[in-house]
Amino acid sequence: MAKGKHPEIELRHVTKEFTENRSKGVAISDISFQINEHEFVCVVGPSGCGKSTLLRIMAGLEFPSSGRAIFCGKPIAGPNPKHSAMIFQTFALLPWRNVSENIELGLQSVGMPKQKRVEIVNKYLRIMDLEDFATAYPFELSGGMKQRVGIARALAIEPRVLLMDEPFSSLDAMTADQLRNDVLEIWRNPKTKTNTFVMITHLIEEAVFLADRVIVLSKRPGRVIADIPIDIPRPRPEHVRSKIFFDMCDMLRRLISYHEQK
Amino acid sequence: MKAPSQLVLVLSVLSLGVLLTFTYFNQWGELFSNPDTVLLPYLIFRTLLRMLLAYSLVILFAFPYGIIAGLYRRARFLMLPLLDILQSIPVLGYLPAAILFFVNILPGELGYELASIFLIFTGMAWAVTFSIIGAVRNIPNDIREASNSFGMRGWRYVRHVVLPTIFPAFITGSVLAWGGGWYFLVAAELISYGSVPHALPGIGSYMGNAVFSQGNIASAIFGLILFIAVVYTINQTVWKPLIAYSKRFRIQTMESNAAVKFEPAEGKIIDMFEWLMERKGGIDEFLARAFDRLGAFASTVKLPIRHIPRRRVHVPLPRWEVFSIYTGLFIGIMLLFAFFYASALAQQLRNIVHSISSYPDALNLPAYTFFSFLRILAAYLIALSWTMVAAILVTRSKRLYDLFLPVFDIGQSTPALALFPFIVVIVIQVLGGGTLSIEAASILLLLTGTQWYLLFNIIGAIRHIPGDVLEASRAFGVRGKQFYRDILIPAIIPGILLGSIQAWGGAWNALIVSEYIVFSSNTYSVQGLGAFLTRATLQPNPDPWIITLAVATMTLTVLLMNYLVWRPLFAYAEKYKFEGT
Repeated sequence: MAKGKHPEIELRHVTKEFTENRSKGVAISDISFQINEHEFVCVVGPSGCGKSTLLRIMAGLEFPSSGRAIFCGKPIAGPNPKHSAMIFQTFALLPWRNVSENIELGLQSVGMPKQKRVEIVNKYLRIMDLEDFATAYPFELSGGMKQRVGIARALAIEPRVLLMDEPFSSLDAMTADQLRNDVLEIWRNPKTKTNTFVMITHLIEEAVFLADRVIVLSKRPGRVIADIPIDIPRPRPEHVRSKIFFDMCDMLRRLISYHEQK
Repeated sequence: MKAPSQLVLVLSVLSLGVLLTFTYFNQWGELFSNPDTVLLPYLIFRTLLRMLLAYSLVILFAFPYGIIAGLYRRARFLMLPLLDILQSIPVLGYLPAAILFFVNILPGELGYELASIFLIFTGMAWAVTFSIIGAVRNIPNDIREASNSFGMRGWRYVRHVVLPTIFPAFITGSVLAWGGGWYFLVAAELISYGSVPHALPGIGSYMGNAVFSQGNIASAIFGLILFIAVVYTINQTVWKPLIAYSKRFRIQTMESNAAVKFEPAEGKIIDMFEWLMERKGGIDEFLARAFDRLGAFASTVKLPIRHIPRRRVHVPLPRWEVFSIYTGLFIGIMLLFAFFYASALAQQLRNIVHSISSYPDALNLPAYTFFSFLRILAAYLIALSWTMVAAILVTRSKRLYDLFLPVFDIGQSTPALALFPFIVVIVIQVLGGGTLSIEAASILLLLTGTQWYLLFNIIGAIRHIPGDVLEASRAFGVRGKQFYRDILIPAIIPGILLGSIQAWGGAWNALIVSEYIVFSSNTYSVQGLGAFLTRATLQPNPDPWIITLAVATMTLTVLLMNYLVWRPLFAYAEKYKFEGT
């Protein structure tokens, strides 16, 4: 399977239904798009539009009711640590494991020997600037640090795609800013094997700041309203106060509110 | 399955089962040869009345005690150790005291009735009080501060903030308490003290009589099934709805995307309470003034201890002070017990050394305690093994869960004491009448008082594992054995611990009735603490010191286990708790 032939992730007419309290509903409807290698894609939409469901389908944690979810040309059959790793809004760390032990979770499940695990954990402790906290427990860490551990844990298994579920919305603004820049650095870093990022968020400014492309979903049942390339040059921090940045944000906003009125 | 239809289904199955088996085995004759059978509806009524009276006393005790202990640190200093000791005294350790006291003051039926109610009270009160204290202390700081800044202090604070907030904990404590009450119903209604047991009208004594004195198996089984049906019905029609109703009083903290949800304290119970407060306006005023005086008093009272700084930070008290308070209270309570026994037995409290030398068996107390401990340990390990497996299996599929939960519910509602005779008979048939079989029967009986606490706590813990942690473990490929070893079992360690503490508490209580069994004029007993206590009370001239020694030994063992085993384990288990729990 040659790289570049297939998109990393492809969704074709994916629909997901659900039952809640004995009533049926549709979370997302007829969603189709592709994620290509090296892209940083943000999916935005109002709360409840099904973005989380979409991400979990891409992660293999859930399956579409109809349509196909494909990874590198093959249908997604379940969670595959070699393909994708996920970062959670609520961090999802194991409270009885310290930072190092949390990072090595994915490495243990593939049966990697201890020595190799230690090497990899140390590498990512360094990359995420967590070396001083290697033996700390989650309850001792701030939200920002916990998410760093979550990121390290995901990167440690060196997946092809990183899937992020509103990773910064539980953090205060300054910490979130810092982490956004860190995430961009990781994405750009040629030494890390993970270079395709998919992130869902409800903050338009965040999406415009980070992404190559923004996919906009409508409210439930979520449909793709727009799939827009962000033409603002990088490094983005230089352009965060520029007109093109605000124009882009305004356009996305108008798109969403236009769709809400329909 | 919705609750009402589940109830109807279960009851119909039970009735049908009874109808069919009784007709097939032609047991109706034997059933009705028991003169009490036709009185069963009345007996059920008497039992419920007794339980309700005991429960009302529990409420009258638990709320003031719990709220005051929860709010005032200085009060807590003495009130918590006192409650701890009272809770550690096994329920049937109160039995001699209850009987001797009440029957002496009011000889005749009323005295026995009061003793019975008091006994049920002691089986219920501590669980509810501890729940209330816990809930009062867990009121979030910001709610406390907001109330204070808006002038809600003293009685007003209690009435408008504390009471609604602790309502859910009160309900869960009550469910536990009633479970404890049912467990001891047979012993509470068939008061066996002295050679002739005195039976109070009720379904517990109906069952007990059928088994112990009449040997009427049909009655025993019928009574048991009826009992299970009653308890099960109450669980479904009273507790389940109350638990659902109490959820609206939970204070929910803000989640990042969701709006703040604070369910205002509404509902019928509150309406009734408000109505009472308004009609009898005097009560409200009176309570307000009383609380203000109490608060003023609490801040001025000088306790003979070092000054406790008024900080919110938890400052652990110096060990020797805690130790001396516990020792003082313990000795005081035990002396009180001894005095009660002596005066009710119309005996002098002679020299304790003299008592021991005339009853040399007392010197075996440490050995007996050790044997009983081993017995409980065996029952506990057996219970832990099967409940872990069952809990994991049951929580795996929703269908299994829905199917088995009523089964477990019924199992928990079954009064173990009523099962004792059957278990004993079966075991003796299978294993012969030797020591091994009686030990086995004893351990089996202990199991019945132990296993449900473990099962329900473990099931609860599994269901409370946060969804994102489960997702993360799936996403990172953690499966099979690794999942159980690295994710599931660590996650349920706090639940196992809580269940274990309750299980051991239940086991100590069950000890007295499981080590000394009387069945169709045969006595089966093992060497243990429970047997010792029962034997001591059955003497023609019971010695108050000996009885006190037995009760004291058991209480002391429970307290020591608390301090040496459970508390350190609790501290260790902190690291397994998910945030927010």
